Amino acid sequence: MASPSAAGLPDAQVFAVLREFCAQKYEASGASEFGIAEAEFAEILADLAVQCNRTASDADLEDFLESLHLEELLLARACAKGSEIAWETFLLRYRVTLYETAYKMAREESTARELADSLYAELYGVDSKGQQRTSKLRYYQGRGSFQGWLRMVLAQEYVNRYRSTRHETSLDEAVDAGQQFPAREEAATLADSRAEIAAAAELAALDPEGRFLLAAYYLDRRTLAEIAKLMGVHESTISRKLERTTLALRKRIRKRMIQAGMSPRQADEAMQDVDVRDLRLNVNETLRQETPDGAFYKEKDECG
Amino acid sequence: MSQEIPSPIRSALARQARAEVHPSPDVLTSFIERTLSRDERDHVTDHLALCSDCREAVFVASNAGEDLIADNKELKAAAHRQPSALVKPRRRWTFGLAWAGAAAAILLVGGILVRQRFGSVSTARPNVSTVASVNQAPAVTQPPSSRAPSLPETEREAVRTEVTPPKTGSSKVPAAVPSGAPKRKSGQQHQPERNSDAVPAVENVQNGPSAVAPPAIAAPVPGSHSAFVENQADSLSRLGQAAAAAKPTMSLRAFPLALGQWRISADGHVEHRAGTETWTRVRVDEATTFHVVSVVAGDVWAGGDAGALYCSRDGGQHWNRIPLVTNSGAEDGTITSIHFDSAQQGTVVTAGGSRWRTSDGGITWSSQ
Repeated sequence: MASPSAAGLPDAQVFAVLREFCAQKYEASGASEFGIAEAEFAEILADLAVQCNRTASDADLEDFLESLHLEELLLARACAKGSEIAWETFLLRYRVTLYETAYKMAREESTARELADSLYAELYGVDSKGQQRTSKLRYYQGRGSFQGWLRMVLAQEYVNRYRSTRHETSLDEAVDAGQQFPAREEAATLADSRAEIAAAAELAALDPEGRFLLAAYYLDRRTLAEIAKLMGVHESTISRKLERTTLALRKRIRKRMIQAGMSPRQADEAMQDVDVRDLRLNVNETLRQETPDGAFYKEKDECG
Repeated sequence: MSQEIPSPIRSALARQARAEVHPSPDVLTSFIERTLSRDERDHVTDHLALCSDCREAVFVASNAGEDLIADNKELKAAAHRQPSALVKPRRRWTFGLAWAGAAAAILLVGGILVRQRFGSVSTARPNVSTVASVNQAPAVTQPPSSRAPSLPETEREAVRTEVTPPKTGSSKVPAAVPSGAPKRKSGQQHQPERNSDAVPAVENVQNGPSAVAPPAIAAPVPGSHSAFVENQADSLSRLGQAAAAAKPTMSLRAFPLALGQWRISADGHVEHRAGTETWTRVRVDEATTFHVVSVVAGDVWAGGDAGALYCSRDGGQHWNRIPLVTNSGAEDGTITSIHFDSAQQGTVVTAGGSRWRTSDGGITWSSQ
């Protein structure tokens, strides 16, 4: 069990809050059904509170504990421990959902089944030697719904797989498609780097939400509807926000370029959608934000 | 809206410094579910702006999930919760008024023109409709389930079409999964048990012959405990619709669909029969008096006194009590109606007027 003292509140105070919370919630949480004793229950919560750095004050700790999806958290922990009744519950509740979600993502049956099966194996948790249970379920912290967590883990698995296979294209297909495989060009340089410096500076000054919207819409080509669904607002709101952000950004970049010594005409030209060949940008390279394959396997026990 | 922006901005967007530590799936899930604190949300948004991997995973997960802002209520609630600037700007109401005025004017002019041109035709229309109604085959009106109790038992028997339940595969219990560990050699994908049949339930109550009822909607049983959830003709048509709607995922879900009938007996017990067999009592909870039973997408739901809501996902062999609980306490009213619009969306109503809704197939319920 992690020591709470590192995070703020004295140990005794943390334990007092935990003890009171556990006394109230143990019965209702269904922990006993999964063979989790009250002491173990408290230990799980204490570990989580420390991992998530939520022991700064009594109120903070209580809020954190109240926000947890306790029953689902305990189900996940019991499954990770190998409880048969927990696994039966898991299968009953989530098996169908898991396969349906995989199908929604992959849109193709065999891929979906493969995706769901591989995640299922990881959830069950048998390492390559088959000796020690290392279930992925132990990473579930109960902060979001268990179903949502499963969906997210499945999505990460899907992205990992997609990333690892997206560059595997047939050479014949590429040739048929007209790709010429040119010799590597010299290091790409901007005709005037002041435009890019100004753009980078203004982008950095933008609020996170604005940058997220720009990246999702312009880089990832997500639709307004997709972004709106994620953000919980109407798509017209996203559209207006994007429009406003882009307009303001262009103005500020133009202003910054002029301050950097460009003439207004040069700045305007730089901000227009000029032919990328004039800028000598290596578009493939600049658009690449990817991490190496299997990025999401770098699991951490910490929150965030 | 064009998805093109000036190259310098696109380039700068793509060149933003990468964040190496990804938020945990828990945090990303909470981001999607909008349960993070403002600080955490900003932190995650900042990461998402920089990390295309996480952005993609979040969008994939979001797209695969239910629409959290499906109805206007939730949209408004989400808008209230949104701490960001996203919800601040609003168009002026005069903008909408101008469009509404223009639309009204067009409709008015159009209406006048149509009236002038086709005004004389209106007298002929009743004739046409009369002929049509005479020629039409009698409408197969499905009596609403709420009317079913008023029918005598014999009449209901006559309406019913007896159908022999299809043979379901053997109910393979995935005991192999929990007890027999799936063996995955290195470099080889593990293939867990693929049971195409019912999964075992947690619950303690076991019942007789395996039979799963078709999708249907149940009605409360006012005044009488003996009422059929559905007649078989209805169930067949619904089964066809459900199968057509679920076609792409059917092979994945593979829940056992067997025809059968369900009812609440006069003494408040759930009863079932498959084909032409006699009615057999299904052990759900001996202490509870049940008032309503409903079948949807292979799941059987039964509701009774003291907020007792039970679900069986294997045709009535095993039952789970589904708690209807809020922060203020548990539901203790008598459940009089269980209605599912789809396999995911359902409503439970109690005699006291409480309404509970689910949007995840009955896994979680929230009070309305």
